[in-house]
Amino acid sequence: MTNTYRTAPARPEEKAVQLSPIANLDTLFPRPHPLASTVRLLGVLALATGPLAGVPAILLWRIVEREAATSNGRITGAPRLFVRLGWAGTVVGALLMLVLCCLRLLQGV
Amino acid sequence: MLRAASRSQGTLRVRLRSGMGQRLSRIRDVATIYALWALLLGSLIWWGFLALLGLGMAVSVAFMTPYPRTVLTLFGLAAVTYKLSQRVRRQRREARFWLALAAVGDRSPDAAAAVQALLLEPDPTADMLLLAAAEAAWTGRYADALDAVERARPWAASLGIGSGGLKLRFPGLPGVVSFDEGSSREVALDTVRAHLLVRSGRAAEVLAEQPRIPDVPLSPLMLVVVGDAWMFTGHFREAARAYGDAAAACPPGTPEESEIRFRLAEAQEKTEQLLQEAESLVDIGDDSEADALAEVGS
Repeated sequence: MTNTYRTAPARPEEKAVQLSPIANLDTLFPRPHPLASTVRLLGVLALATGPLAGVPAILLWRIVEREAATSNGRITGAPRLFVRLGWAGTVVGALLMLVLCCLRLLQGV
Repeated sequence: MLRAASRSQGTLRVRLRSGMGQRLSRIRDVATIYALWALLLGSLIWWGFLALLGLGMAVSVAFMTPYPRTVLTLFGLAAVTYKLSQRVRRQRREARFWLALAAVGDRSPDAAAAVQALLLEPDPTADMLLLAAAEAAWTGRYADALDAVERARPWAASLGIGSGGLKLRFPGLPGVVSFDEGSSREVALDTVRAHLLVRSGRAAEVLAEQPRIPDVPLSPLMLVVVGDAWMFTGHFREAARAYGDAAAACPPGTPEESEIRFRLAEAQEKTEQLLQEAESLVDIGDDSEADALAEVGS
């Protein structure tokens, strides 16, 4: 029996060690954090519901940002606009509640 | 006379009305019972009917209280909170998967911890198990990888769907195993399983399972795995044949083909060595040993 392939290249073991186990890593990433859509939704809802949606929007945004920071740029965070909306809704809602409570108290007096 | 007539007409109307009212209330009761039955039967087909039933009962109970609006608002808030928490939990789980995938892909030192966290989930998905298998294989824990693959097998058809198509590399496998729409996920998982079996020293099991589907041509990667199994069991001639078939089925000029040809050359060299040893044994006069070697080599 003769060897039909004498010019075989050296086994690329060293190269294989540096290869990524995920071959299509660059097509899968970067991608938005899955929670980003909920942050967006809650941020918009905060304008109508105030702290009810605003506080969860802020808390979830913090989680999204923390996880995006540890992902080495593979996962992107949520747009800042929506957390600002969450803050605005929360602050305005809280102020309104405060004013309403004060008015009630004054009416009672 | 007129008064008496009008009085009798009035009583007749009242009687008629009360009769119609009774009939209507009876029809309403029957309709309610039928609707309840329909919802209960419907819930056997779709659980949403049961939810509708529950919702209807909750609203009815709310209207029985002195503060129906407050109760309804609380119900609504509870329902929205429940749905939102479910959504957040699902998305956090997804996020953990993607973070683990990125860590494994980047070969980060945190990859093992991230994958372990995925496996601790109450109900890990097939993609999570596959990722765990890849991570374990790349760290040399072939038994763990095999265990993860075995756990993913019942859901082989849904592999890669949640992640939009996974393409994985396994150490020692010359090529990428695709779990996307264009490929058979079951075949891909079988290839990975067979490769891991060979790597964990159970090559004989792979060879024993091969005649299961003799009419279906094997993929080039599976042929390589079969070749590896023959090599591990010391049957170099069969290994060379499998590698040769794999090389012929592989697109020429690709790195995969080059690796397969390298293995083919290795198998052929081993065969030649055995034949030479057999010849030298024949020269010495040890025919039985020579026959055994020649049987393996030629």
